[in-house]
Order: sequence, then structure tokens, then C-alpha cells
Amino acid sequence: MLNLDPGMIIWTWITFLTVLVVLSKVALKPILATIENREKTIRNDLEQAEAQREEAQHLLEKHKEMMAAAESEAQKLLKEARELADKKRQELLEQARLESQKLIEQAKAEIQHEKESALASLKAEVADLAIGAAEKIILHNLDEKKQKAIVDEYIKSLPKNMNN
Amino acid sequence: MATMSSADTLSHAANENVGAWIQHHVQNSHAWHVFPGVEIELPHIHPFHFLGMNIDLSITNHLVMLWVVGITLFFMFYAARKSYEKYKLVPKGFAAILEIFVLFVRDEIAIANMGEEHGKKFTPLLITFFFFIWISNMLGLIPMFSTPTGNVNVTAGLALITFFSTQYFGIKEHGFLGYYKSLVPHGVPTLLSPLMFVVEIMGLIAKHFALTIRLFANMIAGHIVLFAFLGLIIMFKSYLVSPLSVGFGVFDYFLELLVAIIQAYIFTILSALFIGMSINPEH
Repeated sequence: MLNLDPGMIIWTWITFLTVLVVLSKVALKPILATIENREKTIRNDLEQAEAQREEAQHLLEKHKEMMAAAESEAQKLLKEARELADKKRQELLEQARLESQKLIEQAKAEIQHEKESALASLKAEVADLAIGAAEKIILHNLDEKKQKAIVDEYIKSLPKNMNN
Repeated sequence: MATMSSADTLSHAANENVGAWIQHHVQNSHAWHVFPGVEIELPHIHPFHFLGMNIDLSITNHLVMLWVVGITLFFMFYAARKSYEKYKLVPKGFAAILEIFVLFVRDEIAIANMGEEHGKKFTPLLITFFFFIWISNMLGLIPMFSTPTGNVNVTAGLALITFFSTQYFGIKEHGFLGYYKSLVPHGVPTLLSPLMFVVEIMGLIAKHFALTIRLFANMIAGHIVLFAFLGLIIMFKSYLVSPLSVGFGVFDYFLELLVAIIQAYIFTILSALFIGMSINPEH
């Protein structure tokens, strides 16, 4: 069992080395190269996916930021517009109030003026009428009784509310 | 040639020494016992003398088995390569199974013991070692065939390939003097260095001798045990022991299947370790 046989050792070498060379050339090198290639592809794909994920994350954050900025901008504009409208309304109200005040004032002055001129013309009229009445009394030559009746009648013929 | 041809020999050797019968079965021969009673006589080549050795390059049974292993490996890997070509990057079926072992040898044996750069360079050698030894170990479990690694000359040949690789690549990496200097570990006192050098050289030889004997003994032991169990039937001259013999024989058969891959793995990982150590002595 343990006898040494150099011939067998040499044959083992020849066989093994032939198998090694043939196998390496025909199969092992292409297979190992393919496996390495595949590993490289997988590694690259994973790295790429990671990079893309990061980029997507980045974009999402940027997008969110932009959304927030737009929101606050809109809010600000709305507030400004509201304030402006409020101010404008106050202003208009104030203006309208002043205008009406002024109109009332004018109307009052007008009325006063009218009244005064009316009174002046009435006074002249009353004087004329009094002269006319005195004329009639004198003409009729009357007694006291008749005189009184005539004055009463005249006073009655005057418009009722002229007691000013 | 295990069980089938053993039945044939049984009739002849029935009354003979069972030990001699077992020896006959595990030994190399100049014939291939294809079927019971059918033998192919293999060609003899006249031995010649070289360096004081009597070299006999006759074709023997175990050599034919080595060729069978080589051809099997060739077709296995050729089919695998075809699968890679057909399915592009990811193979299917048989090649996918083969890839598990290829990747195991590359990552767990080559790169783990030699580092990334050297590991990849030596991967083809280690894969060939692994599959060559594995298939050799299992071949004896098939009727008609025998186990070439049950021959100490074959295992010695394989271990010598590892040995020459360690020397060749060690010298190539560090230079002739540099390599043999690196055998002596750092921190050894200068006076002790010559002694340590001798010890290391002895260790170097012992490592590869152990590599030879480990594989050879494991493979032959399994076969001897298997035949011994079957021989019990002859020794007791009774069929009543056959259930026990066959039962244990089958158990041993499965054990052999396990041992076949374990020994292939051990041989490969030790080769990787030795070559790795000679290339990177610091590790």
C-alpha cells in the first residue's frame, strides 16, 4: 500500500496539470470573469440606486422647501391685500361722512337763508295788508261795534299760521 | 469497482484470507475490472532508470481513474460555461450548483487565506484541486471504478504540486534568499537562526507529508472498513450477519460521501494556506 511508485507520481502530475490548464482555459477563467463581471454590475447598480435615492431625497426636500416658501408668500400677500382693503374702506367711510356733514351744513345754511328772506317779504306784506285794512275801516266810517267785527273778520281771513 | 466486482471475487477468495482480498481491492493494478469477470488489461511500458529511481510509466488502474476524473471535470465545467453563455450573467441548473462551490473556493478558501489579490490569481488552481480530489474521492463509491486518491503516490503527487507551488511562488515573490530568510520567523535571536531554519525546513516537509498521508489514509481507510464489513459475511460463513454487514456498509458508504468532500476541502484549504504563507510570511 505504501510502496513508492515514481511513475504514478509523474502520471499524476501530467494528468493534474493537463486538467488544470485545460479547465482554466476552457471554463474556469471565463466563469470567474463572468462572476466578477456580475458582482461588479451588482455593486454598480446598488451604488447607482443609492445615489439616485439620495438625489430623490434631496429633490423632495427642495420641493418641500419651495412649497413652504410659496405658502408663506401667498399668506403674506393675502394679509397685505386685506390690510389695504381695510384701510381703503376706512378712508372711504371717513370721506363719505365728511361729505354728508358738509351737505347737511350747506342745507342748514340754505334753509336759514330762505327763512330770513321769507320773513322779510312777509313783513312787507303784513305792512301792506295793515294799511289796506286801515283804509277800509276809515272808508266805512264805522262804529266801534262794526269796527271790531271787521278787524276780526280780517284777522280770520289771514292764513292761520302766520303768528311769527 | 467496489461491490459489484467484489461478488465475483468472493467466490474465488471465499476460503482465502479476507485480509488479502481487501488488500487486493484497494491496491493499484494493471487492469481495469469493468464488470465481474471482465477485465481490461492495460498497456505495460518498460520501466527505465532515472536519477537512481526505477520509473515505471505503465498505465495502471488508478491512472485510468484519474483520466476519468479529468474528463468528468472537463464536461462538468464545459457544460457550466455553456450555461453562462446561454443565460448571460446568471446561470441556471447545474451551473448554478457548481457556482456555489466555485464561489466558496474563491471567497472562503482562496481570498480568505491569501488575500484579495493573490487569492484571485490562485483560484483556478484551488478550484481544480478541490474538484479533482472530490471527484476522485467519490469515484471509488461507484461500481467499476476505484479511488485514485486511495493511492499514496497520487496524493503525494498532489501534495508535491502544492509544495512546488509554495517554493516557486515564494521565491518569485521574495527572491531566492529573501524567501528562505522569511522562513525563519521575526524576533528569533541571530544565534538561533540556523537552528530555526533547519526546523522550519523540516516543518515544511512535514506539512506536505502530512497533506499526503491525511488524504490517502482517509480515503483508503473508508474503503478498508467497507470491505471489512462485507468480509465479515465470508469470515462467519453465514448469511445471518449480512443485514448487519450491509447495514454498516451502507452507513460507511454515506460516511464516505461526507469524508470525500471534507477531505477535498481540507486539502484545498491547506494548500491555500501554505501557498499564502509562503507569499505573505508575516501572516
